[in-house]
Amino acid sequence: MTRLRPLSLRRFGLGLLLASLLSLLADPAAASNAAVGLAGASEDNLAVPQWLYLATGGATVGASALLASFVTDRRFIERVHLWQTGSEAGISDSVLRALRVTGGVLGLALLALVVYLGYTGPQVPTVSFAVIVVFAGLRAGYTMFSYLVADTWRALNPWRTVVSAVPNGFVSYPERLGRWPAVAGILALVWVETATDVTTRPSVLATALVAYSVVTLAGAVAVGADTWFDKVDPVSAFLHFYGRVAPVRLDDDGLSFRLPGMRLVTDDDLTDLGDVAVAVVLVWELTFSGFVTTEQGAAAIRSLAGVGLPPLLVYGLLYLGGFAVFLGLYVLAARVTARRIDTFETPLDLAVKFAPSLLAIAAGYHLAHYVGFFVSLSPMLVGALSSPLSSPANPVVLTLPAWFGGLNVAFVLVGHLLAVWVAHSQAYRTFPSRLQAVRSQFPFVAVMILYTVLSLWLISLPTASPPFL
Amino acid sequence: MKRRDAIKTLGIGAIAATAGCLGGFERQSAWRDPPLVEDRPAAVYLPAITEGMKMYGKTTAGPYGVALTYSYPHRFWTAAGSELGKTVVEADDSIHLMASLWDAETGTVLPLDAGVSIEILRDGDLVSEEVAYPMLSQQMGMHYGSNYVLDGEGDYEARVHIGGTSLSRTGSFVGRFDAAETATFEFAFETDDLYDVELRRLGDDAGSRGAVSAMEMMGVPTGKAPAVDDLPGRHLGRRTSADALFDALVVDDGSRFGVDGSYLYVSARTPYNEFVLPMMGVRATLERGGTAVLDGARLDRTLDPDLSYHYGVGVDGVESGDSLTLSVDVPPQVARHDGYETAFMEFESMRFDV
Amino acid sequence: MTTDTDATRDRHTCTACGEAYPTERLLVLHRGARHPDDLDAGEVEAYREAYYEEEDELKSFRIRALGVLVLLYFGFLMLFIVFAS
Repeated sequence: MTRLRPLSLRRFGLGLLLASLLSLLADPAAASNAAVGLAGASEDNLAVPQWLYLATGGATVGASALLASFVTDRRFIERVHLWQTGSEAGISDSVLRALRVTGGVLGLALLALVVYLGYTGPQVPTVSFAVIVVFAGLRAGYTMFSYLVADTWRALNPWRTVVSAVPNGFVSYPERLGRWPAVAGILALVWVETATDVTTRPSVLATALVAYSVVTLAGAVAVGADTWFDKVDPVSAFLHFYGRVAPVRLDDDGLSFRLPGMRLVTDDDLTDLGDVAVAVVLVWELTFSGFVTTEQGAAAIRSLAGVGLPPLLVYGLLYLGGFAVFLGLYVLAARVTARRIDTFETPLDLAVKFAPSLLAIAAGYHLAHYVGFFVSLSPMLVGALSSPLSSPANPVVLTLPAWFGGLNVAFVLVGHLLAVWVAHSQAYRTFPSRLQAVRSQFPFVAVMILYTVLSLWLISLPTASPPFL
Repeated sequence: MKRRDAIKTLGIGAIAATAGCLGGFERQSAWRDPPLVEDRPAAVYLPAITEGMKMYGKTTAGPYGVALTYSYPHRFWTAAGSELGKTVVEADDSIHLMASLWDAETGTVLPLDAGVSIEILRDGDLVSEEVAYPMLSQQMGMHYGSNYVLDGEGDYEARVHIGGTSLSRTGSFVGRFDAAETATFEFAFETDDLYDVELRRLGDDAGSRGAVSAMEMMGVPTGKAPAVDDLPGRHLGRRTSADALFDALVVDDGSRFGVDGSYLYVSARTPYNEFVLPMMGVRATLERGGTAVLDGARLDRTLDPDLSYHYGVGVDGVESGDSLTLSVDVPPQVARHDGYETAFMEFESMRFDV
Repeated sequence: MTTDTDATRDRHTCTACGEAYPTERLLVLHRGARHPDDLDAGEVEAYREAYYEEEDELKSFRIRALGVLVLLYFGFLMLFIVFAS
């Protein structure tokens, strides 16, 4: 098939993309600094009003979607998302097995240490091995590793290691349930993290882990390790979904490198609404905890509780209600698309097809919310991992330079830009008409702009402790 | 986890770099400057977090009884003139060491106004040496302490150097406490022991007026001022200023105190726990029938076995109908722990009508 | 996968893979893009026609999109000059 696109127009389109992005990105960074109040000592004190900063963020995402729509060459799009390099010879079985065994031992050792030191170690959270490893290590750092580098959880998962060593799989798992149990599990875990003492009392954290282990081991032995850790276990679902964004994958076929996020286009492993719900819950839980830790969020909760509702109910309604709203908005976008485009694809099909791009958004949000936390707590994590049995007398953190706030804004935007590209590629795979593919994006981009503005607004607000907790 | 909230929950204060936009990543203690209670009253209040302490040892050195106690490294407030400064926890501080001093014979606690420093050695090599500031804490009362850098876990030797004092001394204290002394302690620093020390969050009570009760510890005096009923002389009254309690008394025959005539003295103490408040500059004006018998006379800081630490001056006599005005021109130059830093700073003058 | 079998519209089904489309044109575009080797001469001609037609539509879309982008760019530039200095 001959190329019918004028080369110059495509080059022009890409040039415009870069120029616009650079100009629109530079300003929000300074805006974020001013908005967050991290005034640096620099001379150009650009004071951008908050509405302008938010509008710029939204416009960046919208503009990038428009720019992506300029790229209409199917072959070019396929080249991008199929581009990969890998080790030609593959990895030998013995090396793979050795890696799996190492991972398993490491995972088990960490779990044992966390539970043991949670009970016997110092009960001050800043020096507790358990609290630091679980929250700074697993929740922040390891998740970042999973989507930035590679998903290694299959090997590291201590519960899987234990269950695989014993006979398992006596009950068949009802397929209709899909991944909904994982959705419920993630919601439950994040609720426990928010509403209980697990972040401040190491012994409570250890008990929670023991309870989690009991449930997981029992369930996995009953239903079978593969099914349980694929469909039900919230931690595995969480890490594997984030891991789909990662560029590196090591599996039985060997080691392969893809462009970040491009696996989201080609791996057709999200199949039903439950999978969509997992992707949405990853985005939602960050937005929720981002909201309740700001002054405005705390004020909203206080005023709602002032009406007479018990505080936990207020949190619960906000939590579950907000999740329903996010999921509903996304499905609504799919419905609008299905109506506007001449196709036999149902709204559910479209929702499932475009759900992988939500993972790119989630990865961007996660990075924005956690990278500062992780970097500043990294000395504590290194200290804890290097000498678990003896805590430091004085936990040390790293201060963050003023420009770090701008980095968070950049991460949110990059997550959205990647999502726009992934959705664009996915549309091209779905629709035979290129114009259909382009037009199908508009409702989803509208939702993305809303998510962007909300997320940028949240990271620019002053922080506060969530009340009543 | 709520990362920004986690930072507060874990007790870490603001992590923004102060070095400006070109500043980089600097090491800082997670306990450097924990969040303070909001809306602190200009009085003694319950702090957000209280720490207990444990003892490394107790000994005597010359006339002094000395005890070495320790706790978590924490921030404290220093008074320089009428300015309040803040000493934060540095990234390398390992421990907060405290020395309590008292007179071995009478058990009176001794705010000496003089240099106490603690030198820490390991295997004969100097690890750190620093002044131990006289400080006041709701749990420990009057003691000398600071945050110290240690070199990991292990065995250390601490030498508490006590300088001779130039405070006025009366009674059996005359001539005592002139010479410098050193008390030596051997201790093993284990972080597990440190984390056994009690750490309590006060929740909703924090910020309200009041004080954590003093910790009674194994024969270590905390520096409570003697009960007013036990103090000799006529009690002219008790007044409060800057949330401190001032009791004015007069002993008609002041010969014991080395003055002709009467001895007018003031015993100052903290509310609630009644610790001695040392190192203040107190002036007295005594008026009788329109004339000033004492006019802004400085009350000397004095140590006495019965009166403990007090502020006294000789006067011909104090008769009924006199009016005494006390003013504090120098706030107590003693460092304070959280809960004491907003009190005892700005004093209104106090009037006693005899 | 096309699953909306309740549609009362015509189903134009691809003989190579079974995908169905509501219009002839969409089927032609699909076959041209996905199964180029399966096409006979008439179908190649039909694909070319449909492709060029789509090209024109895309061109006009691109011009409008470019217009919006330029408006966005200069609009925000103005906003920043006015409000952020």
